[in-house]
Amino acid sequence: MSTPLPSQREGVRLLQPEVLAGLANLELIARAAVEGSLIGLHRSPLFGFSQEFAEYRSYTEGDDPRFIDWNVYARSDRTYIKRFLGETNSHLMLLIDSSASMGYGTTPVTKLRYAQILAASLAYIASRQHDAVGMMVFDEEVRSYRPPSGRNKLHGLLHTIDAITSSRKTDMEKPFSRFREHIAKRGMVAVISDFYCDPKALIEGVKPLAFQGQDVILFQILDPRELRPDLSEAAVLEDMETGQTVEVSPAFMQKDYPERIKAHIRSLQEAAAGIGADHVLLETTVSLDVPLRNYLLFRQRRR
Amino acid sequence: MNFLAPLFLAGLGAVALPVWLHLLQTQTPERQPFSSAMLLRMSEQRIHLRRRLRYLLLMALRIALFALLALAFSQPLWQRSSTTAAAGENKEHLIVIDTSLSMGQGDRMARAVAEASTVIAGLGAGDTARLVTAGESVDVLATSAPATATVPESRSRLTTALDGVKAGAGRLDYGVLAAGMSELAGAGTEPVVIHFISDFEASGLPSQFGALIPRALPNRTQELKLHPLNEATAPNWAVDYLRRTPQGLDVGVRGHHTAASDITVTIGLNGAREVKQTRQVPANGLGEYSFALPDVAFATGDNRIVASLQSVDGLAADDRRYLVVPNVPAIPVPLLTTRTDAPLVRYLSTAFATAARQYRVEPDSLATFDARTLERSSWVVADDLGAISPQLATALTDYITKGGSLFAAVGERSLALETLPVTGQRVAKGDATAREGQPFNVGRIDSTHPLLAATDGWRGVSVTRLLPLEVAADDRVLIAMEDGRPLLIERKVGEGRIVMLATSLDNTWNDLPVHPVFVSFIAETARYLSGEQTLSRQQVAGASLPLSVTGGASGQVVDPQGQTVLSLADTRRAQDVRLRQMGFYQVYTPGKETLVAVNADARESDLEPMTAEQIARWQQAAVVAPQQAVAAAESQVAPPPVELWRYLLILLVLVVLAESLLGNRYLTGHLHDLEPDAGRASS
Repeated sequence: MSTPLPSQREGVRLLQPEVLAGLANLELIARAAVEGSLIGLHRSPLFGFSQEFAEYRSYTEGDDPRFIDWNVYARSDRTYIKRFLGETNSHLMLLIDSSASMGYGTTPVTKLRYAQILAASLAYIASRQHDAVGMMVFDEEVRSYRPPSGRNKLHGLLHTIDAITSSRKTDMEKPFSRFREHIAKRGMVAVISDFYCDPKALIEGVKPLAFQGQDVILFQILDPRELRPDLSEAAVLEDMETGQTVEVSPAFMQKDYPERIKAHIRSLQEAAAGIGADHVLLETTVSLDVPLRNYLLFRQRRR
Repeated sequence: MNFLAPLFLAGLGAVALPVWLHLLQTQTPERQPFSSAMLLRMSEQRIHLRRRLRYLLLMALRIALFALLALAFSQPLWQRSSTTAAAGENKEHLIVIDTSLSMGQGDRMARAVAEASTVIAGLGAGDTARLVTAGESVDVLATSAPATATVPESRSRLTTALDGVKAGAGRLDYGVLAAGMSELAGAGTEPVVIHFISDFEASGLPSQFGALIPRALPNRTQELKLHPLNEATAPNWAVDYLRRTPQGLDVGVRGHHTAASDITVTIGLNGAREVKQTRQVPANGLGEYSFALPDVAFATGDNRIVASLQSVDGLAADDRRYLVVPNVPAIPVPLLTTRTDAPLVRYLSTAFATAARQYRVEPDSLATFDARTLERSSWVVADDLGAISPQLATALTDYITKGGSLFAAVGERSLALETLPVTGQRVAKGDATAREGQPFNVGRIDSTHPLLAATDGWRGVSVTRLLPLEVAADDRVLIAMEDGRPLLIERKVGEGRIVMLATSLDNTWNDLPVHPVFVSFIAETARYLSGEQTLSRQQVAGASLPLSVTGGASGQVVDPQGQTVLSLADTRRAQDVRLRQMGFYQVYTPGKETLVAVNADARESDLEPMTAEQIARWQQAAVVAPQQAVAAAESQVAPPPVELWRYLLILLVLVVLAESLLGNRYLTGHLHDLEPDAGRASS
C-alpha cells in the first residue's frame, strides 16, 4: 500500500469530525468535507447530464472521451470537449432526527452535530450535482420542513440545518407519514438518526417510501460509547428522552449491552435490506469521507 | 415478659451498626445521561432488584443477629399466668368519668358521657359494670347486674345515671384515683376492667409515675383502659388568688396558654359594693390587681369577698374566687408583768398582730391586777412566775384548776426561789447562767406536740440563762437543752394546763424574740391554750370540713346554694363534710355563724393535657396481675416461667448460618459485577 500524499493526508485530517466541528460555518464545513472527500475521484462530479450547451474546452487527460466533439475535431484537427449546463435531474431529501438522544456524545462531536455536518455535506454535494435538496427535521413531530429546491436555496438550507437542536422523544411514524404526504416525485431520501426505535416500526414507516420509488439510505449515527460502553462501577443511567433511570452494573454494560446493540443494528440492517434500502452505520469518530463516498456510490448505483 | 438482666437490653443499640454500614454501602450511584434506556430495561432492573432484596435480607439478618444477642443476654422470662382471664370470661367494668373542674371546659363533659355510653353499649352479656365519677371525691353512681332477663333494665340504670353526670369543682389527682380504683374494685375473682374517661390534664399527674398503677388485688387482674378525649390545650384565664392586705385586697389573674389581654376584675363586698379594675394580663402570665379598701369598708363579723373576671374562655368556673375576711374585735389576753412598758409587751403585740390577730396583749401590773378578772379570759400570760404574790398565785391555781390556762416564763425574781409559785416546781441546784460565749443550745424537741408541730427554728435559739427546774412525773418536757435541762414544760393542773418556759420571755436571757420561730410559737401557744379549734376560712373544693369544728351534733353546714348539707342522721354519724361547691359555706355552731370560702384548686385551671406518649406509657403499664402472694399460692398449679434465652441462642445460631451463606453469595455476586474483564472478553 502506498503512503498517502501530504495533500491527501491533510484532506483526510480535515474530514475528521472533530476538526470539522471546530469550524464555525456549516457551509464551510460542508465545502471542506465535500472537497476533501472528492480528492482522488477520477470523474468530475461538477457537471450534470442535461443537453443545454455551455462551452467548448480543450480536452485534457482525464476527461471523458465521450464528450469530445468530433465535428470540431474534423474541422480543426483539435480535440475539444462540449460542456453542458447542469440541471436538476433528481432530488435529495434529508430526514434529520433531532430527538434528545441525538444530543448524546462522549467525544467533542455529539451525534446531532455529526448528523448536521453529514446533512450539510450531503446537501452541498447534491447541490453541486444539481440535485434539488430538501430537508425535514423531526423528533416525535415534524419540527421543520423545506421542500426540495435548487442550488440557490442551499445557503438557507444549511442555515436551517445549523439551527437544529436536540429536544424531545423520537417517533418515526408520524414524521414519515407527513413526509409521504409532501413528496410525490421520485428521488433519494437520506434518513439520519440513531434509530433508537423498533426496527419493525421503522421499516413500516420507510416501506411506503420505497414502494413510492424513493431510494432510501439510512445513516445510523452512534457514539463509540454506545457501541462499546466503558463503565468501571455501577451507575444510574438516565434516558435522555424519557428521563427513566436504570441502575446498571459494569458487567452488564460490558457483556450484555454490546450484544444487544449489535443485535439491534443487525435487525435494522436486515429490515432495511428487506425493502431495498441502504443502511450505513457511522460512529461519530468516523471520517466524513466514508459516508459521502457511500452516498456517491449509492447515487451512482441508483442512476 | 420479664428480664433477669434488663441492662443488657441497651445492647439493642448495636443494631445501628449494620444499618450504618448499609447506608454507607448503598449510597446512590451518580446519575449519568444515556441516549436511550431502550436496551437497558427489564433484565438489568430485575437483576438489581434481586440483588437489592438480597442485600436488604442480609441487613435484616445482621440486625436480627445483634438484637437476638442483646435479648439473649438480658435473659427474658415468659410467665404463663394461670390467672389470666380466658377468652369470653365475665368481667367487671368500672366506668370512671373524670368530673374535675377542667371537665367543665367546652363540651368535654358531653363527649365524656357519649364515650361512657359507647363503653356501656359494648359490655358483654355476662359482665357487670359500675358507673363511677371521680372529681373532688370518687362516687359510685350506678351498678348494673350481669345478663339476665332484666338486662335492659339493669343497663338502663347506668345510662340514666349518666344523664346526671356533671363537671364538679374539685381537682382530680390521677395517682389518688389509681389508689382509689383498687379500693373500689375490692373483692371478687373476675378480672376488672377500669375504663377511665378524662381530659387527662397534665396537672393531674402525680410526682411519681408508679402512683398511676393501681395496687394489685388478690385473685384479680386489673386492666386499665384509658379513653382520652383528645383535647388540645385551650387558653384559660383564672383568678389565681384573692387575699387581704393591710391596704385592702390583692387579686391575681393568671393566663394559661393565653395571649396578652386586657382583663377586668370586679370585686364584690358582701354582695353589694362592686369595684372594677382593668389591667393587661401578660401572655401566659400573671396580672396583679390591688384594690384599696380601708378597714371601715368591712362590716363587723365575716365579710364575703368575691373577685370575678369577665368570662372570655370556655371554663367559667375558675373565673371567680371567694374570700372570707373576718372583722371582729381582738380578744384581750392579760399579761401579768411587773413592768407594763417592758419590751416584752412590744414583742408579744407584734407576734399576735402577725399570726394571731384575734388576740391582743393587755399588760396588767402585778401590783394592781384584780384576780377576779381572770374569769374573763381563757388564758393568761405571766412573764416572771417568781414575781407573783402568794394571793395571786392561789387565785391563778384556782383559775387553772377550773379550766384556765397559763403561759408562764421566769425572770430575775425567780432566780432566788427554791419552789416556783402556781406551778409548785422545784428549782434544781445548778448554775442558771451559761459560760461566757457558750450559751445553752436546744437539744431535743417534741415535735409531736401541737405547740411545736408547726414551728421550726428552735435549734437556732441560744439561751444565756436558764432556770434549772426539776421535772415532775406528770410534766411533759417539750423542749430540752443539750445538757438535758428542760426549756419548755407542759403541766396539766385540774381542768387547765400550764406551759412553762424556763427562761425569760423577752430577750434578756435569750434571743428567742428575735427569731422567726417566736411569732409562730406565740400563735400556736395562743391557739393551744385558748382551746379554740380553729376553722380555716379558706378551703379548696373537695376538701373535708371536720364536723367537730361545727360543734358536732349541734352544728349545721349550709352550702353556697343555701341547702343544708347534713341531714339529722348525718349530724350524728358523719365525721366530716365534703365541700363540693365553690362559694361560701355557712357553718353554724351554737351562738355563732362562721363563713368558709371554698375555691377551685388553681392547678385545674391549666388545661394543658398529658402528651400522647405519657398516656400511651400509662396505658401500657396499666395491666396489673394479681398480688404476688396469691400468685405464689397458685404456683403449685401454675407452670414455671419459661427461660427464653435458650431459644434465642438457637435462633441466633440459625441467623449466623443464614447470614454467612447469604453474605457469601452476595459477596460473590458483587465481585462478579466489579470484574471488568469478564464483560470485555465476551463482547
